Amino acid sequence: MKAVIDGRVFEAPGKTTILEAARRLGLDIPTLCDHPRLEPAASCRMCLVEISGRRDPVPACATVLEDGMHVATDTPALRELRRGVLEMILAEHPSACLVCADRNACREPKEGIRKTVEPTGCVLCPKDGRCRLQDTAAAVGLERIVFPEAPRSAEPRRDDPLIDRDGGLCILCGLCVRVCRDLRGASVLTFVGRGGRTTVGTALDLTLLESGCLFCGACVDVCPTGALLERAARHVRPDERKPLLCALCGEGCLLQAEFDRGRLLGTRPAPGPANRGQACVKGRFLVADILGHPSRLTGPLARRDGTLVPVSWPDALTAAAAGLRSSDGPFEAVGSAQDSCEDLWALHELGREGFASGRFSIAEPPSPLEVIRKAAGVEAGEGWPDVPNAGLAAMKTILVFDEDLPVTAPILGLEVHQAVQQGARLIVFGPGESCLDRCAKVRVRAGLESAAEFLLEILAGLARTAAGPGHPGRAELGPAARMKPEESSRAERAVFKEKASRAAVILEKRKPAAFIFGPRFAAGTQGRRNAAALWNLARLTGAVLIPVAWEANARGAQALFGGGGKNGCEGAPLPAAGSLLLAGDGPPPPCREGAFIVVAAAYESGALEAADVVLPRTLFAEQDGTWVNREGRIQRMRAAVPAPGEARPLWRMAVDLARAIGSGGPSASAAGEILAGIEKERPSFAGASRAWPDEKPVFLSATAVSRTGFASVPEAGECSAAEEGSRDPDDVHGLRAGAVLKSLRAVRRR
Amino acid sequence: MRLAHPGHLADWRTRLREEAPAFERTIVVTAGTCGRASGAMPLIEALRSEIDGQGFIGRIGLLITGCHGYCEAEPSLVVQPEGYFYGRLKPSDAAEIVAAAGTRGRFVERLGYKRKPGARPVRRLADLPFYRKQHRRLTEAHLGLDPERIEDYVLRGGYGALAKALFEMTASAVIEAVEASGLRGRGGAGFPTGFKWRIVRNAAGHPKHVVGNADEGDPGAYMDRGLLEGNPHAILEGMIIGAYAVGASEGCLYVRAEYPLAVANIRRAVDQARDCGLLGENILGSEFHFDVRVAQGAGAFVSGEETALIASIEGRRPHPRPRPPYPSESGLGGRPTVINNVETWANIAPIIDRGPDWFASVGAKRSRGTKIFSLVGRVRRTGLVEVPMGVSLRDIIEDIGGGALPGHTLKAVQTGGPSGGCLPAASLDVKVDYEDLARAGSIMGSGGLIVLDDRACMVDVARYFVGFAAEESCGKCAPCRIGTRRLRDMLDRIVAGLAEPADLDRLESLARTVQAASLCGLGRTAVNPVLSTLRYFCAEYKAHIEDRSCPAGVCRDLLSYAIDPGLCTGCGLCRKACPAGAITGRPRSPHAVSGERCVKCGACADACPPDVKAVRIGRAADGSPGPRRGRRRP
Repeated sequence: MKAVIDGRVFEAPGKTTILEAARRLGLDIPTLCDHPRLEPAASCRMCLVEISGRRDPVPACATVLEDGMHVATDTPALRELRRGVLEMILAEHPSACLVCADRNACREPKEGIRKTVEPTGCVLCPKDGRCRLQDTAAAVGLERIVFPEAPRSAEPRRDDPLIDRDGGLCILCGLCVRVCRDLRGASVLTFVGRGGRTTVGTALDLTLLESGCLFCGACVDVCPTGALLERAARHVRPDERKPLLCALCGEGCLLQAEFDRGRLLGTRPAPGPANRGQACVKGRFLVADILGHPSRLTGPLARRDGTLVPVSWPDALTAAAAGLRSSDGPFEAVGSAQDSCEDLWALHELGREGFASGRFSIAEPPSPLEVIRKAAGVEAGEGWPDVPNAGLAAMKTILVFDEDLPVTAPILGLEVHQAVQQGARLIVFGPGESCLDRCAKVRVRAGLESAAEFLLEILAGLARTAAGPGHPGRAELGPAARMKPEESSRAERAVFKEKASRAAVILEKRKPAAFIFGPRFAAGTQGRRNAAALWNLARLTGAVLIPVAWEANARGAQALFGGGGKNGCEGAPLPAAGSLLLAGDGPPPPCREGAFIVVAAAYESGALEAADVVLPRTLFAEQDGTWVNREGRIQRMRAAVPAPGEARPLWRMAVDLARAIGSGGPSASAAGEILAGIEKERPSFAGASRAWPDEKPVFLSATAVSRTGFASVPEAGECSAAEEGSRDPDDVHGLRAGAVLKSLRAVRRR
Repeated sequence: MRLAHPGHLADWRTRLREEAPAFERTIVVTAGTCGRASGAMPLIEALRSEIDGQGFIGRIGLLITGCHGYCEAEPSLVVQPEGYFYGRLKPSDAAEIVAAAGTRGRFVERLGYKRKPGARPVRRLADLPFYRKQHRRLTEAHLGLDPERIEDYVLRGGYGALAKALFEMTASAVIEAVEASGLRGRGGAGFPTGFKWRIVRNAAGHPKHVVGNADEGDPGAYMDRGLLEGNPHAILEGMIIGAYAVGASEGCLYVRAEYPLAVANIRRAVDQARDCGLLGENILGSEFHFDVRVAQGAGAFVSGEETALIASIEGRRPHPRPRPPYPSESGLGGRPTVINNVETWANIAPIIDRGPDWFASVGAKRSRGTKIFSLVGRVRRTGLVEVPMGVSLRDIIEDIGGGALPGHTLKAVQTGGPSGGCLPAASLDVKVDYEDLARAGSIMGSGGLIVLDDRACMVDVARYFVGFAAEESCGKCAPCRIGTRRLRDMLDRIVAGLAEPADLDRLESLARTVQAASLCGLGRTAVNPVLSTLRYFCAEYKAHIEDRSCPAGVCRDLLSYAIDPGLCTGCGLCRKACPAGAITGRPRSPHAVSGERCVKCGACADACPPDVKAVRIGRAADGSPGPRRGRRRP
């Protein structure tokens, strides 16, 4: 395919729109309604271009470049047309910021009558200076507007949390409606009315909250004007932007932190490799609040005469080292799957080498992937290939177990929605409601204790039709499928079976398939049974396994230490610890009466009551570190936000403690040195030191699984009790960040 | 009655013919929406009881049909076989008509149509001036069948073309026949139908769809309604043949919800056809499967645009999307889709039945066949008119429509509704043909003809149509949504006498921008009324702007009312009629209008006795714009 745009030759294989091609040639075509991840709407009419041989100009965003086309993007007629269209748009939009004669002078900070220096700015618009419409007007060269101003009269709506809506600034580009419906699958925003009275609103004019909005903020980020705006970021003009890796869940979104004179204003999604420009309510709106929370610990504390008093770092380290050294019984370091690889590794080293009888554990229950590995009998170091988010679009069937994906794994949720839009069939299993229900082909409303039954029913259905050696036998199919017969009626069982057979038909016809499951699926007494059944079905159908990780570094912790739980001492019964270093926010492990407890915490919380020494720690954005996201993508990041007070990274505490104790253990002066150590000892982390978001992506490496047989599915009830997933996925290092979200969601459900 | 073999259809027809009741006379009452609105239902009741009461049961039949076109004369009826026509009837006329029909088919002179008062009435329908120059192919059947009975359609040879297509022709032969006929889309754009079908036939994707577009939104146009109400099976048969030709298995008929009778008739027709095995699996025993559903619009003009129509059928907001891809490649559900206007579909069965040559035997060079127009406005006879393509507008308006109303002169004709243009009386010799109309600055459109006489202000007409487009714009693209409103604002200013000479250029350049930059046909053509009136009636615009006067005396803000003291008898009628209390004067002495208080409603002029006519309407003497109500000054 070869075409000419503005006299320059463009050559590319495959389909390209004129807009894409022009941008690749470095030509600037003004647009107001295009988005790289959305189908073109061609509604703003700014990108009109001329094609020789065609009478009318065509929109560049929606026109596919054809072989031999001659395109002109910047002719006098087009300039006139664009100016005409923009004039029309600005006739309905306040335009003082564009055409006021004093607009430049008034942006200067001025001495006001109040004797304080205040920016007078254009008081009208909360987005002045960050506005795509302003940029477009500058690009088109519009200087005056002939039409009388006829603003769209609309009262600003401020009745929602986080987001303000001002219809008066809306230019109806439709980006918010399209991103909400087509990309996020929420369909909260829509067009209302027709003709000149068209507005963007919600069904029945409810608030966003009542309409089921998840506050992902995608609409705010695409809005070219100030019509949709983050309430906390009105009238701001960031002077500095830094990349930041969100560690509030397992998705590993790249964000952009915006600062004003060193103060973190907020974050917005960046086009990172995992999230590709999207985020969720936590990453979009809550990072600054979580980092700057008033209950953050800013200095070390030590217990003197029964009360915790502030001390200096050297004093705290001395006190901690003395206490740890003198206590009898084994030492235990507890980390969290939210921590970076470096933090976990340093704690692990401290437990392993700093003490004669030391150990290291992770507060969270074992990762679901680990449960499946064990159920399937997969060797250590072996693993399945990971599916990057972009790869989900190729899936023809997607089976989701009890995960409200738009909430627990927002990026995965939107990728699933995209795949469904492109024709994938969705099967949702779980007791609760999920945002994905409305696009599910099969919806099974049952608890996870019946998940194995459902899977075995599908397996039995497939086994009846499948022939050949790759065929599960009696033992693999497990005991005859039954769904808690004492609790379910005949009709319920019939529905259950019918849904399983429908799912079997879909799975048989539409390949490839992906199975998505989370910590709850593999937790509890049924975990092993569910896992074995899922593995067998994946074996039979060739489906890929996609575990949902609630914690930011769950995959990393699993790759480092083989899952969560009491990993340092698998097999041996746990003796009660004599001294503890608590860095995870789960329930503390058993310890002896009078044990010495050092707590490394970010927030004031109940855990501090038992502490002898409290060390303030930094959080994800405040320290260098490496996280492995749900996809198995290794991501290294530099500190973006200054640490509060004297807080230090966890790995540095471990290093300092080892030095203070005077024994072996971690020694490093930078996080990168620890990462180098990990790379040496853990082959799955090969290349991790090159894993910057802007470099070539690095995934956890694993050798292919050698085991080929089916797993034997245990009888219901015979599995040993495992820890329940007790942690709230929305909580961050002990901060009840989830409470805010819970209240939002409670209102939504009502 | 399920037809599982083509022979069954012929057998059925024979049987129906044998079983048909042998009435001496049949009274045919046209009861489309227009007839019912004018009182056809009470008339039918009266006729029925008269036939009963006068003892003519079994001798005089009553046939209730759809609209036959002559809406002006509704409620009307025709007594067959003589073809006697009676129009503008009252239920009380029923007795006389039944009695006359019962006595050897006598004609009731009193109720006959008269060209002018006192003239001899025209007896037969075919001799009426309204019908004489028409060439009725599609609408002729309306007078002979009850749209609620599939039997009537079959009896007249209905579904014979379908049997012929299915069992005697290959799908490509059907497309060739349609191509050879030269049939072009009747919805307005005039795309060759056969060619469109061929694209869909060759497009990849399954299942394919056919869609009948009956979202007829043009003000004053109701051709589609006439067809749907009068002969729904003809449309259905065309769609089934089309589906066979392109290989479609699903069909949808999109009817605007404002046509309840049409929706009811087409729904009933679809059910009847399905019961008879003419829809569904193995149609007439062939290997061909096809079914149709009826979808209703929710009252949006833009839904007639094909991509918006698809969105509406799919349950989304009717927003047009950019083309390509055209629906013939990616339409309903992303599948190849044929979208044709119902009038196009109605033409298919006759083409297959009688052959493409018969179809092409009338018409203009590049526009073959006949076209239905709805002739409305300031013309003596209004209604649905079917004429061969290529006749002149003058033929339609003067010969069929009878020309301007007495005492007035023809000024312009608006063709194609709000998307079309106004052609001046001097251009009436232009042929109705897609290309000729476009050259004259208008469009064929779906067939609306609105006749305007000397009482119409062309600026006001343009303002009305642009205002319609502004209201009906879907709001998606900026030029249409905002541009049409700004055009209307400018025209508002012109009719209010607030415009300045430079505004005329601004008006035209804004209209050109909207035309070039809009996303879909609605916006692109919404400016046609403005551009065509600017082209042909520029003097009228200038009069509004430069002289601040409205030559037609329509634009209220430019009028002034005065009472000629020499003529006024002082009767006081105008004073009583004035709602603003602007008229003062003592009884039997000349009255006067206060310019300050006058709201220019015209009530005084209407109240003034015709033999006095003392109220003078003229442009404001001082040239000042006069008082405004609710309009902002610049």
